[in-house]
Amino acid sequence: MEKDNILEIKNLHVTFYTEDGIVRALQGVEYEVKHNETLGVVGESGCGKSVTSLTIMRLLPKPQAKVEEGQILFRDKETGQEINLLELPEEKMRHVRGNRISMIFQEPMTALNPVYTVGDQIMEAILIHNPETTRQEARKKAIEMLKLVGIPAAEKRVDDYPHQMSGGMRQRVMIAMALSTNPDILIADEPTTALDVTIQAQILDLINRLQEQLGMSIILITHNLGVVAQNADRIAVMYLGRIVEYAPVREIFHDPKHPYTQGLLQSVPRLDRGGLKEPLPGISGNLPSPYNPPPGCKFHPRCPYVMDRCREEEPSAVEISPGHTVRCWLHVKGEKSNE
Amino acid sequence: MNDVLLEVHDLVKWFPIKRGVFGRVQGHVKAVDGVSFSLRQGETLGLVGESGSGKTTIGRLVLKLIPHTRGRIVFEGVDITSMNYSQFRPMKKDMQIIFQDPYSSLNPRMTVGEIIAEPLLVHTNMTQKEREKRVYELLEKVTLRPEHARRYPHEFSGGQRQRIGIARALALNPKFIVADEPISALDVSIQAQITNLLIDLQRDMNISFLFIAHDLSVVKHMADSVLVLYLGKPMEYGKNEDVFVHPRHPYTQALLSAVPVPDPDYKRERIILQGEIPSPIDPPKGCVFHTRCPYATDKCKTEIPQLREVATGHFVACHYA
Amino acid sequence: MNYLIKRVLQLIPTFLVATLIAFILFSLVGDPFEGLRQDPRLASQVERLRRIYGYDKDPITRYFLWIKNFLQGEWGYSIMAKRAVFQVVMERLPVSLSIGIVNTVLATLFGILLGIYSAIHLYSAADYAATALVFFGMSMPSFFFGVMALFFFVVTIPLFNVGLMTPGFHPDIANLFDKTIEYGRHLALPIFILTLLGMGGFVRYSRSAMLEVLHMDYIRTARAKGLPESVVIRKHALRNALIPIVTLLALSLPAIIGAAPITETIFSINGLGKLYIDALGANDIMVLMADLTLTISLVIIGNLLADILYAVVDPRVTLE
Repeated sequence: MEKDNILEIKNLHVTFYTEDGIVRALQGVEYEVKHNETLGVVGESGCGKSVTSLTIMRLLPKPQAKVEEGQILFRDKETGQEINLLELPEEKMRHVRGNRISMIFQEPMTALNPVYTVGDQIMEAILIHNPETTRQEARKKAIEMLKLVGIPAAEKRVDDYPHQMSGGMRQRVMIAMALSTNPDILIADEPTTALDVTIQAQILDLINRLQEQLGMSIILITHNLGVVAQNADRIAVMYLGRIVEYAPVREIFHDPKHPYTQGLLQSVPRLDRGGLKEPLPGISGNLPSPYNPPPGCKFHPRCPYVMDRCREEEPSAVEISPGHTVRCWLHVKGEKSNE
Repeated sequence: MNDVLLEVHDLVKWFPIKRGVFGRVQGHVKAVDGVSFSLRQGETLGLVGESGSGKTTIGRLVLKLIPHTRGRIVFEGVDITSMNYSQFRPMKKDMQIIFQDPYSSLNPRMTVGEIIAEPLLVHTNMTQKEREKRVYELLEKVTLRPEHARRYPHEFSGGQRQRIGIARALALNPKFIVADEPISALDVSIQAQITNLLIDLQRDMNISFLFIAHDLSVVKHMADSVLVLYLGKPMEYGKNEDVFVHPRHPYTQALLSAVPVPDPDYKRERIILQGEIPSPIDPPKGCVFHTRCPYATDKCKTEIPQLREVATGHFVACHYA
Repeated sequence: MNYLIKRVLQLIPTFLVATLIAFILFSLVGDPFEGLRQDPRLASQVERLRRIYGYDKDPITRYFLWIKNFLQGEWGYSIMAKRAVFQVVMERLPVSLSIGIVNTVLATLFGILLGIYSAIHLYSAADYAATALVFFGMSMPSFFFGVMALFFFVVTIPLFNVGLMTPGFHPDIANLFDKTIEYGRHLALPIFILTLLGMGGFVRYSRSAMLEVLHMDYIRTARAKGLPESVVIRKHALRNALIPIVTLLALSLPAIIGAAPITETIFSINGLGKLYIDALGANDIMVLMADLTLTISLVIIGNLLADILYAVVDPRVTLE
């Protein structure tokens, strides 16, 4: 594990065995998260961006999902030890989950338990990971966290039930809960997708501020390219269970190499450029069914540069410049073609 | 060309709030409160706003899907507000709607062919053969294949279902379509395809769109003119350029600055609005936006700003614009 | 509080309408004193009774006469038992209650526990076994199941006892302990059958309620916090799954006075269920009305209780 990494995912393969068939949800996913940086994970539905984070948390649905291969290495900040989360006994994993690595989700409306007050739910997270803390201390800490995430009248709101709060407020509560244990990593899975634009801006601003203030690494999962452009240091672009491109944020947005990344960027109308009713180049075709993925490169049926080789053989990841890898035959040097 | 197709004057919709055992009316939600706009043939008007802005309600009102409280809706020079159902029925074929959720807006027990042919069955006296031919034409128009007519909605992806919804809306050659968040439930790469399709259709068939969206980038891309709403009230109304290049209302400015731009080096002044969107049940007095406005003064707390024309065709409801 | 008073007041018209409908339906059957008239010695009595119960007037007037008397504890005269209805019903009530309460408590308790266990261990052998048991219980008619039980556990192996569930039960046994044992031998079998047949609904209902809850986002949140699975289930899932179950519980209140005429008949238990069947045969309208009115009252109270409990267990619901 490299020194400034806190998390490394290596060759992760996850398969779902469902009634409708087998889905190879992750096929050789690899990424790393550095200390205090934000990694953006971008992709459309079924690309595996959320499955990856659930694998890190070891919260995959049982018994359908199975980790077939791979390692998730995590550096424990206190001991400096490297641990493979996939091999950790459940008992020990629980001390990582919600404590060293926390997670917030897309739906703030349903992610909080309706029958307990928000204070109870934050305190629960504090108490489970700090057994020596008293309830009074935990309550004080919960109020402090609510203040930190910008909830007005926190002393009063701590006794509110989730339904008494707006969507934006609930997402703040989720953040307060996730950060109440001072985690090393925060996984934010589409944290602003369900929110209004102005509230989205508030929440992203809050997450950035807290990252600076508290110091933590963030894995920001989203389908919205705009959200990662201004909030992430590096980006992993996923398509059908693979990371097709992985690079520092500027390279992804200014010099995308994979045709899928290029297409994705050309799919969104821009506030900063582009004329009225100009056609968007975008990507043709539909997302393939995860039950029945195409052979060869998974993107080839929609790729404008498709070659014969793409239809038969799947490219592996190639590092084309330091820290910038692409899975595409266009970027594999002829003689160096691997395996 | 470019004749006004739809005119809306001072449209108001109040929903009663009922409480208690006997459902007494305790007050009203002013979902739409004094909205006016006009839409020309072959053009798109973008309705922009966050939750509680009333944009979806306006879409329903102009199609008379729900009754209005006050105001006038004029379609092709005819006042449709006072019409009863039988008078309005023949006009319905010119006015269609596309929904946000392509999953729930198609009847799962009907084939795609039946879904698309249904408006033809209701509004025309085409023969079975003619209807079939028309369905194939429509499928082609939305880039689906003729054999898709025999399949059921669940066999299609989200983008394809939205195409089916569009084909159904096009069946009667409408002049006007309400597109209510037509792409927001779709994947990014599919959004672009549907956006392109809508633009092509508009050009080919000279359709006018009332385009309802919360995503300002899409509205900037699609709409000839834009109406920005907040808590049921118009904040700013003007041509695309007026609103996106020279926004005058603080709310419009804040909305624009909140839109994430896919460029890590894009620099702009960030206005992050504080606080929450107030409840439309109990909107703020004076200017409804004053509780979140960074420039609010005492005047804003008491006096309701009128929508004023600040430049030709550019209207702003702000005391200081 | 205001709301509660309003709700209680609303129950009155519901009660009146329900009893009125029942009353009119029974009136359509015909003159209940027809049988008595066969005996010429009773002729003058019959006329008197007819006047007392308003049979010389129209059914609506008769209803109001009846309800006025009923509310004063005058439940009328049972043609079948030739005694006051109130006496007959009160005699039978303890028998039905003892079966009804025990069976309802057992059916709901085991039903809910089994349902929740099934949901947590979805598609396990235990889950399939529970499902099989439920289908057995729900599809097995009580007259067949009851008779089979009677045959095997009373006739073939005399493990249990039947019949004789009348007032002055076994006067020969003086010892209270022995009497209780004997009581149990009489009631165990019908209670077991009613529990088995009755818990099916609760198993299905609580299983699906729990399954739904287990798929909720907040369960994922609870797990992501690092809570042990047992806490996730007990604290986060169970509490939410119980919300709909509590309602069902309150609605099953009428079952405590024995909605088991068939089982009572098979086991010759003189409870309210059997009384109802017998009264139907004898066209004993006053008994039928008394029995139905009790049930109607419990249904109405159960509904009110369901609403109140709902607000107690779910903070999103307020009584207003």
